[in-house]
Parts: sequence; C-alpha cells; structure tokens
Amino acid sequence: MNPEDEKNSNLEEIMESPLAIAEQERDQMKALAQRTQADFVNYKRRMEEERQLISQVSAGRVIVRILSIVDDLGRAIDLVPQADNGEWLDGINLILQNLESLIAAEGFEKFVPLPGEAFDPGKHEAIHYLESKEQPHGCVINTFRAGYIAGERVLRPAQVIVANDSSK
Amino acid sequence: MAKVIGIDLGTTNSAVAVMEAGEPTVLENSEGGRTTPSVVAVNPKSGEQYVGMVAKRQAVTNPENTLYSVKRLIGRKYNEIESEKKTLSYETKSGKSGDVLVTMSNRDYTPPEISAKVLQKLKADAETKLGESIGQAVITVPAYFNDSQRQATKDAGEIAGLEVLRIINEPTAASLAYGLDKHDDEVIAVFDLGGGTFDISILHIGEGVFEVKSTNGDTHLGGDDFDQKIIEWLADEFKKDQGIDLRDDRMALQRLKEAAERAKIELSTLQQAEINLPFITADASGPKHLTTNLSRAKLEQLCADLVKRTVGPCQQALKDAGLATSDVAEVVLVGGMTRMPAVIEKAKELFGKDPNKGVNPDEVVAVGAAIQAGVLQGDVKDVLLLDVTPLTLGIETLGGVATPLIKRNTTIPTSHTEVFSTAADGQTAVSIRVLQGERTMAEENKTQGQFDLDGIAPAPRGVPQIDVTFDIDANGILNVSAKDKATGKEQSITITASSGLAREEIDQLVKEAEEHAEEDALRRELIEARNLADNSVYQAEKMMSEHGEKVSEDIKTEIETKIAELKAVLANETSDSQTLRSSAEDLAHSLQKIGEAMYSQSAEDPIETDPVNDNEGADDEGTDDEGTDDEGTVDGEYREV
Repeated sequence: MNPEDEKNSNLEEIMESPLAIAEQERDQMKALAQRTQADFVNYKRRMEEERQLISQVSAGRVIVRILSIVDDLGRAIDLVPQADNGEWLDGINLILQNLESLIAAEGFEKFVPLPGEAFDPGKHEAIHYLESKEQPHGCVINTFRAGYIAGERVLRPAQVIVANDSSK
Repeated sequence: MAKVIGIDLGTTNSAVAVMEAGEPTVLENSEGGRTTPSVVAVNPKSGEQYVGMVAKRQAVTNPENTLYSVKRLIGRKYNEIESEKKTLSYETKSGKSGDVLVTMSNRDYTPPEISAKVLQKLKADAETKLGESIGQAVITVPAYFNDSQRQATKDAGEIAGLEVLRIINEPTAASLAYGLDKHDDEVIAVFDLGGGTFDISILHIGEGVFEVKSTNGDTHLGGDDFDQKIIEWLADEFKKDQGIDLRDDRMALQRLKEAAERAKIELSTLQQAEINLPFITADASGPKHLTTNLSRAKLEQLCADLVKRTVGPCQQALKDAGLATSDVAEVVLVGGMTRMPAVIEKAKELFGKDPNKGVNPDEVVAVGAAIQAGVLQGDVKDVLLLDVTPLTLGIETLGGVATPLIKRNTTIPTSHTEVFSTAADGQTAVSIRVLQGERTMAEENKTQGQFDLDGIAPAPRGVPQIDVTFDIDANGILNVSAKDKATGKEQSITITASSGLAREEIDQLVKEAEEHAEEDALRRELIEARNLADNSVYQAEKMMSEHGEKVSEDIKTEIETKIAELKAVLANETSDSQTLRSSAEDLAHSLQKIGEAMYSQSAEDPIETDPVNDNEGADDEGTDDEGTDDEGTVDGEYREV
C-alpha cells in the first residue's frame, strides 16, 4: 500500500472507530434495556402468580401456629376420663369443632392417615419405625399428629408411626 | 440470554438465588421453602428417589438409604473420613483409587453423584419458578476446600446438567452480598454458624480481589446442638418434677424437639419463652403436662459452652493470619444460629466490630453466589448499579402539608404522576412548591424549587384536575411538571441534584423524621381533620343552596345549626382532630336527611336529578392566588430556589 493510501486508510479507521464504538455501545444499551424490561415483565408475572398464593401462605403461617393448639385440644378430649362429664365435654367438643371449621374455611384440609395406609413421605413424616404384626411393612401403624393440605401444597405433614417388618 | 443461578450447596441445607434486574432474589423450591435440605434417599422397595424435605421425612424408616451431610465426604479419600464415618448412619466404602463411595439401596454412588441429585432438584425448581431453562451456575464451597474437593463439587454440577462457571468461597460470597467488594485494603471476618458446622474465615479485600488469609472452625457444631441443650434441660426438669424421663417416650421426645426449636427461635427476639406441652405423658395417676418458662439468660447459660467453642477457632484464625482483633474492619454473619443474641455478642467481642446486618443469614451465601453469577453473565455493570433518591420528594398541599410523590430510596430513573386539584372556588392558578425531606410539614423540609401554573378554567374547588409529574433521570436530575387536563396548559421546572448531601446528613434527616414521627403524625392528622371539616362545610352549604327547598324547615334548621357548629369548631384554633371529625360526621349524618327527603319525594313525584359530583378523593392544593380571574391566560412563572 502506498503511503497516501495507508494514510487514508488510517484516517478512515480513526474516523470510523468513534461511530463503531458508539454503535456498539448503543447495541449494548439496547440489549441491556431489553433484558431489564424482560426481567421486569417476568418478575411481574411471577409476582402475580405468587400474589395469589400469598394470602393463602400468610393465612397458612398463622394457621400452622394454631394447629399445635388444635392438637392439644384434641388430646385433652381424647383423654377425658369416662365419667359423666356430658354437657361440659360436649361444650369442649364444640369449641374444637369451631376451630376445625375455621381452618377448613381457610382452605386447609385436615387429613389423618389410616392404619394400613402406605407411608408417603410426600405427605407424611415418619417419627417412629416399629415392629408390627398388624400392619404390613412400610405402612402406617397409626397417626401421631394429623396433617393439613391446601390444594396441592402440604401445609403440615402428618406425623405417623410406620411399621417395620424386619424379616423383610 | 439464560440466567445463571447462584447456589449455596450446604452440608445441611442448600439455597438458590438469581439476579433479576440488578437485584439478587432467593428462589423458593417446589415445597415453598427458601432452603432445601441437602438430603437424598431411595426407597429400597420401589426404587423411588427422594430429595430434600421429602427425603428427610422418611429418614427414620430408611436410615441406611438416606444420605445426608455428603459434603463432608465430597472430594476426599476413604482414609481421610475415619471420624466422619462414625457420625453417619449409612454405609461408606473405599472405591478404586481409595475414593469414597456411599451406598444407597445396594448401589454405590460417588459423593458428587449424590450432591448432583440435590443440585438437580435446585435447578428444576429454579426453572419452574423462572419459567425458563437454566444451564449455568456459580456454586459455593468452604474456603478450606482443597482442589480435589472443589473439582468434585464442580463435577456434581456437571452431572446435574449445569455448566459451573465458577466455584467461589462461601465467605467471599457472603462478603459480596454485603457489597464488601467495593472496600479496599480491609480485613473481613466471616463467622458462619449454621446447620452442623462452624467456620471462621479471615479474608482480605484489596482492589476488588478477596484473599483468604486463614480459616478455622469446628466441624460438628451447629443449630441442632443448641436445640439438644434445651431438650435435655426440659427432660431433666420434668424428671425432677414428675419422676418420668421423657427421653424414653418417642412421642414425647418429638414434641420436646419441636418445642425446643420454637423456644430457641423465640428467644432471639424475646426475653422469655413459655413452653406448654399439655398431656405430654401419663402415668397411673393420670395425664401429665409440661409447663415451664425458659428465659434468654437461662438459654445462654445452657449453651455457654457451645458459644465458647467458637472462641478458640476465631483466635487461632487471627493468629494464623498474623492479625489482631483491631485489624478487622468488617464482620459478616452466616447461618441461622447467628441470629442468637449471645452468638452475635460473641462475634462482636471477638472481632471488636458490630456485624453487618440486613441480609438473611440463611441466604447470604446464595445471594453472594447470585451476585457473582450476575457479574460473570455481564449483568452487573456500572450502568446497572442504579442509584436511589436519598430523600423523599413531594409538594406542598392544603394546610402546609408535605405530600410525597417519590419516596426516599426509590430506585432511579423513575417517574410518578398524581392528580391534584384546587382549594377554592374559581381558583385559576396553583403554586407548585417542590420539597425534599421526610417531615410532614412543608416548612420543615427543604424547598428545591417553586413554580406556578396559571390559566386554569374557573370551577368549583376540587373540580379541576391537574397532573403533577415528578420525573428523575438516571443522573438524579428532577423534572417537575404540572398540567391542567382541561386546558392542556403545562408548566415545568428542572432541578439538578444540587445539594449532594453526604450520607451522614441524609441519615441525620431521616433520624430527625423518626424522632418527630409521632408529633408529625398528629399534626398531619389535625390538618387532615381540618381539611375534612372545611370540605364538609363547603359541601353542606352547596347542598343546601341547591336542594334546601326540598326539605322541611326542621331538617333545614338542623343542618344549618350543624354547619354553624362545625364552622365554630373550625374557627377555634385549639380544636383537636377528634372534635373536628366528630362534628363533620354529625353534619354528614344530618345531611343524609336531604337525600332521604329527595328520594321519598321522587317516589311520589319523579324528578330528574344530576349525580352529585364527589371530589372527596382529589387532593386539595395550597395556593397563593385565591380566585384570580385571568381570562388573559398569562403563562405561569417559575423560580428555582
């Protein structure tokens, strides 16, 4: 290349580069803006989905704390001595019923795994593993604490005792 | 461009976070939890695999096939894990080249294969949450992990279908979460007390690079140990009291465990926790209950030796780094147990500094990993590190109140528009006074600028609609405009970020606002009550002039009396907000009789009535120009202060 051409070529490079740089930066900024906008739109969509869960989740949190009291009330009733407590016991039973209705009305369904039901860690928590002649291996012997489910979401797993047939 | 996730692959629990528009967000798993237990299991009969909380729930029935704390084994040789083996309920063996193998349902796995299952779940749950495919991740490891352990963790990622862009140290990730990478030539102590291990790391940050100066810790010290102390205490107290050892009763023990964990958490914020476990057990004499109180002081006494176990490692770490307590500039806390006040105190005592707060200690490592992921992806550039407006911006409204339009700490650029109106009938100009500050009264805030908008069509008060827009660009330049929707007339003012307040000044202003919050709230309440009362008088008089002849003299007199009473209350400068509100309500109640009379009359004699124009919702505006007649549409003038 002759010096004149070289000089022109260099000049072109020098003149081109600010434009090229500016174009590059513009493209980067455009991509950034698009990505940020997309992020925002996606975030909004997710928040909308979660918003529908949120009130249920918030109610769920409060209800989970109440559940242990419901459990205790249930225990109390189960252990009432077999004396003539008639009206008094009926009253306590009604209180428990009211509490359980309130929980159900919030969309939280109580479930109590039955003896013989297959143990399902998706909904059950095994707290003991015992030898059992009555129940098949890997099945529920009895439920220690009821579980609660809201739609597909397990609010609180049921606590169960699972049968262990050690011969198997 | 697909997102890169940041993963804290923990010994006991794992977490995932991702950058979204420049901010790290922790992603919930499919069960709704923000952390996922690092547990994997297989049902030996059905072959079904479980990961996370579900795996944990069946652990009691399947201990040999439930794998946990695999992080203790990853990247290590079999002859290195002698002491760890003893704490594990599953089988470990030596593979070829002396590597560790774990057994699950009669099949051998390498630790990376097991960790990969946890990572797979985290990946799948993140994809579900984000609604897009994830192919890359940043994964954290302890600072003391050697090359083999790091490589094995990377392998776990690859097996899970993730390209691991980087393996970063957990204490570095935690420091990133607090923005400590912006600091220079400083020593950072990262105090990590979580699920099952305690780690102390001394880092140095210089020119954006973190260097690990030393590490130390206790590989078997965590939250469960603290719970156990409480369980033992509860059982001992009960045994003393009732002669029954609850530890022999599996069901009772389960309840004790849950109560202990709850009490521990409560005592991080309360001084006392009540523990009531009705019908915990029974004997020949009947049911037994456990009722007791655990004070924070007692808990600290019970756990004193556990907290003390953090001291030796911290002191040794400083010594190994060749540093003194006074050299430490920042302290970062990681792990749920660092919520306990006694632990925070100990960290403060050991390093002489208040620990950084604000990020959830269970999530701080995942957050830092996400930030690193964002940097590698190219998200976090200077341009994306957006600024915030440091103080609230607003305008002065009726009664001298400062009405906010853009709250402080709003990310900029941003724009906000609200509709305002006039305060007096026939008002044809409004004055916009732009304020900056946190106080309720306009005079207590800084005036940034002021301008007038003239040429508003004369109308009853509250009828004109004036759009006031605050727009701040990325450089912090504020543009305030006011536009009359009816006439289209517009005026605006541009305010550059002239004051450039220092951090301390801003903090001081915010603090002052907080100190005066109650008094400011009362003033605001009084002004709002006055505005309400004033508007009630106006509306009542308007109603009476338009419809007064439709009601009986009795009702008319009643309403006029109530109007006069309310006016008197308004005229009395000492009237409190309650008096103003109840008088206004009284008047409103009487006014309803006009409506009743009109409707009963229309039932006898149908009359067409126009709907009442209710302007209660529109804010009123303070103005200097009451009732000026400017048919000549003079352009609004403005001046910048």
